[in-house]
Formats: sequence, structure tokens, C-alpha cells
Amino acid sequence: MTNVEGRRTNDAGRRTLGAQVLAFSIFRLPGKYAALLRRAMGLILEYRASIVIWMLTGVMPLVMLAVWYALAESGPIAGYAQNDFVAYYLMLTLVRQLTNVWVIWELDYEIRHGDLSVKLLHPINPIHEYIATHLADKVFRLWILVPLALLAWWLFPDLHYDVMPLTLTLWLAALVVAWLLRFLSQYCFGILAFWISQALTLNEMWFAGMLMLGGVVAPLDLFPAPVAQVANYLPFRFMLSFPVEILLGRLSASDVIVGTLTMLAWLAFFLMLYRWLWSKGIRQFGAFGA
Amino acid sequence: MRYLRLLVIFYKNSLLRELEYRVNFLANAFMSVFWLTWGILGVSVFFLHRNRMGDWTFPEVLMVVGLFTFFEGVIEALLRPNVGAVIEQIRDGTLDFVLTKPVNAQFIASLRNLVIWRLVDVILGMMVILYGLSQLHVTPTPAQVMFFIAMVISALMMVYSIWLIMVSLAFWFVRIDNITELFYAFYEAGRYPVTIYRGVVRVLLTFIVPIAFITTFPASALLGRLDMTTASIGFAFALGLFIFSNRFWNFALRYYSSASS
Repeated sequence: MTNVEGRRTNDAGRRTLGAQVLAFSIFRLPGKYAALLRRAMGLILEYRASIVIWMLTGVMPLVMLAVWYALAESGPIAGYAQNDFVAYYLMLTLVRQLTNVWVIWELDYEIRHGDLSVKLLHPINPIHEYIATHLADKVFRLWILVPLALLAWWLFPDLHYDVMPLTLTLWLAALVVAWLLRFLSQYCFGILAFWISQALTLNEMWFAGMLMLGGVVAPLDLFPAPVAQVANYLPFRFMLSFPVEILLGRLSASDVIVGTLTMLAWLAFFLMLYRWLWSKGIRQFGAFGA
Repeated sequence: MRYLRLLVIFYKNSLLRELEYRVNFLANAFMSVFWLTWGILGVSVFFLHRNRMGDWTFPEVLMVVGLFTFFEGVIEALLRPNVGAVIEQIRDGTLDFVLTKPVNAQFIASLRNLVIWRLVDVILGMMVILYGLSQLHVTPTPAQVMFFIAMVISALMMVYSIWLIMVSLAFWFVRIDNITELFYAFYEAGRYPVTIYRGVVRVLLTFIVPIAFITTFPASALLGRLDMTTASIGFAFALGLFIFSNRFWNFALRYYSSASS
């Protein structure tokens, strides 16, 4: 096991970063991925009632919307009128639903119980099996979210989004990267379960950071300037609020460029961190002979 | 008396079990402080821009935050490990072991386990309430304290009833193993005084999912903002829900068919 994985990592070491990004693309292994996705879709449909409940637990942005909406009754707050809050938080809710990640609970459990060894016998890196279930979950969520989005559009006809081919493309790219960042960072915390028993606790703090500085508690503009300045460069922003900011049309061209570059830098960082932790962890796993 | 003795044995047992995982205890105590700080910071963001939240000042809102933490502690220490665990017992059929004991089944199913480290939240919550009071420089009158205690008891009855009803549903819908998470979807709104919410949302949070009774009303009582009528309605509502949930539990129990075979 260790040998096979070791060889795989060495191969990866020779690959360029671009190729590593490609390795995550679903187009690289179409045949295997189609099989994985079919299986994952079946699994997700089996648990559809649970998933609807999990979707409902992601409503914190709507609570925040209700609060900010009431606070903005007496006038705009830092340039956000009531309508802007509605536009911001509805989009944030959508982004949060579409970037939802739970891989650490599976990974942590499977590492501690040794179930991971079964997955390691499959001729594909386990990360792809997890990615497949997450993708299937997003397909299922879209079925529910698209009608809801249309309903919201009908209920609030005067919501303003900056919908143009360019912003829409950027939004989609930022959305995919947001999901990748949430997935990869959580995966890295999950891999820590090879060494420590409190991987979930660390992930919880990371999640709290995202709620605070990723734009859930408040749009980042509403924080004191020094905090907002720092938050603009932290990974949390790119895990949730960046796609929303793009579509709200509040960013200048240079903001968008700097933001995109920062986002890609974080993606590269977490890709490398994952590679490194995984190759270390898998050896550790072999060492206690699971 | 016999039940009291049982409780002592139950909780000694829980304590011993948890003392085995001390790192866990420390990590979780740390997280309790962490989330409370997080909650207070979150409220501070609102007060950067406004000096009132639906007529409540910062120290007053802190009392709501304290109650939120207090009840979160109660839920996680007592409700989730007991009533919450029934869902799994229904699925696995291990509820048999609860039902065949020569003691009231609801008593065991509700009070058997205690996650002691979650009492940290209960204590932290009380500290925040006291801190909020001290910042306001007011001393509640004995009547206000009594209202407060009555409202806390109503809130406890309501939280318990809501959980019992959710879990009873699991007798029919075995698949929905995360139904108790639904509670948290709404409880999140209880971090702030209910007066901040407008229209339908406020009605929903007061009467359909009575989150307002859990965090806002006890705080109002302590601040002398709750009149006798509202308090009585709240108490009657809680009592009604409590009786209904008990009936519903007993009704649902008849549909329990154990697992396998």
C-alpha cells in the first residue's frame, strides 16, 4: 500500500502545478468518474430527506439578512440599503448551499476506524470518491435551489445584480474555486486525523472563521477598515463572499483582478498542502498497521 | 425518591465515563469559550453601525446572547444525548432496552445521560447574563427575578417539548436521522432579541417555532419589560406544549415495532 502511494506521490511531484489542477478536473478520468458519479447520485437520492434538512440548517445568512434588513430601516448602512442586503444575502445563501462541504466527518471517521484502508485498495485516490458524492449532492441541491431562486426573483423583482457575460463567467469560476477551497481546506484538516484526535475541533474553528470573515455575519465592507483590509486577503473571503461581491458589482476592476489572483494563490496553496499532508499521512497510516 | 436515587447513579456513571477523555473535555471547554466570544463579536458588528437592536442596547442584547448559550448548554448536555439519541435507538431497535426497564420509559429516555462538559456553556451563559446586568447598573426587583425564573422554566419545557415532538416523528420517519438539526436551523435566530425581526418572521419565531420564548422572554422578564399578561400567556403556552408533547410521545410509542424480525 505504502509503496503504491509513494510511487503515486513521486509521479505527482514531477507534474507541474497546472497538471495538478487538471488532476482535479472531472474531465481527466471520465470513465471512472461517470461510474463514481452514478454511484454517488444513488447514494444521495437515498438520503434526500436528510439532505433537505441539512439544507435548512444552512439558513444563517437569512437570519443575518433579517437583522440587517431591520437595522437598515432608518437608512443605508455603509452604502448598503435594505435592498442591497437582500441582494447580498440571497446570493450568499445560494453560494453557501452550492459550496457546502462535509468531507471531514467521513474522512475523520474512516481514518480513526480504519475504514479508509478499504478505499485505499480501490484503483483511484479516495479524494475522488469524496468529490463524487459532493458533486452529486450539488446536483440534487440545484433541483431544489433553481425553483427557489426563480421564486425569489419573482418576489423581489427590483433586486440588482451586475449580470453580464464577463461577471457571470467570473462568478461561476469564483464559485467553483470557493467550493474547491472549502473542500480542500476541510480535507487537509481531515487528514490531520492521522495524527491527532481533535481534527474536528480545528475544523470547527476554521468554520467559525469563515462565518465571521467570509461575509456571513456581515458583508466585509461593514467591518472596521483594518479588519476588512486583512479579511480581503484571508482565505475565508474566497470560500464564500467573493463570488457574491463579483455579482453585486461593487468591486472596481482592480479589486476584481487582485481578488482573483489572491484566490488562485490560496487554491495553489491548499492544493500543495493537501498533496504534502496526504503523502505524509498515508505513510503514518501504514505505520500503525490498520 | 427512587427516581432521584437513579439520577444520582446515572450521572455518576456519566461523569466517570467522561473523565476517561480529558483532552476531549479541555478541547470542548475551549470551544465553548470560543463560540461565546464569536457570538459576542458578531453582535458587536451590529453595534458598530447602530446603537440599538430593535430597542435593545448592547448590554441588553448580551443577556439574550447569555440565554442563548445557557440553553444551548442545556440542550447539548441533556437533550441531545437522551431524547436525541432515541432516533438511533429506534433505527437500531435498541429502544427495547429502554422500554423493558421497570421504570417509566420517558424518564429514562429523557434523563439517562448527562454530557457534563456542556455544563460549561450553562455556566458561561449565566456569567454573561450577570455581566449584562452589571453593565446596565440595575438590580432586578424580586418580582422580576420571579418572572425570570418562571420564564426560564417555561423555556425549558418548550425546548424539551419541541425535541420530544421531533423525535416522536422518527417513529414513522426512520430515515430522517438528522431531524433534530432542524431545531438548530431556527434556534440560530434566537441569538438576537425577537423584536428585531419583522412581520411574518416574528410571528413564526413566536408562535410556530417558539424561539422567542426561549431567549428573548426571560431576558425581557429580568429587564422588567414583560408584563403579567404576556408572562402568563407564555407560561400557559409552554405548559400546553409540554402536555401535548407527552401525549404525542406516548401515541408515537405505540408505532414502535423494534428492528429486524
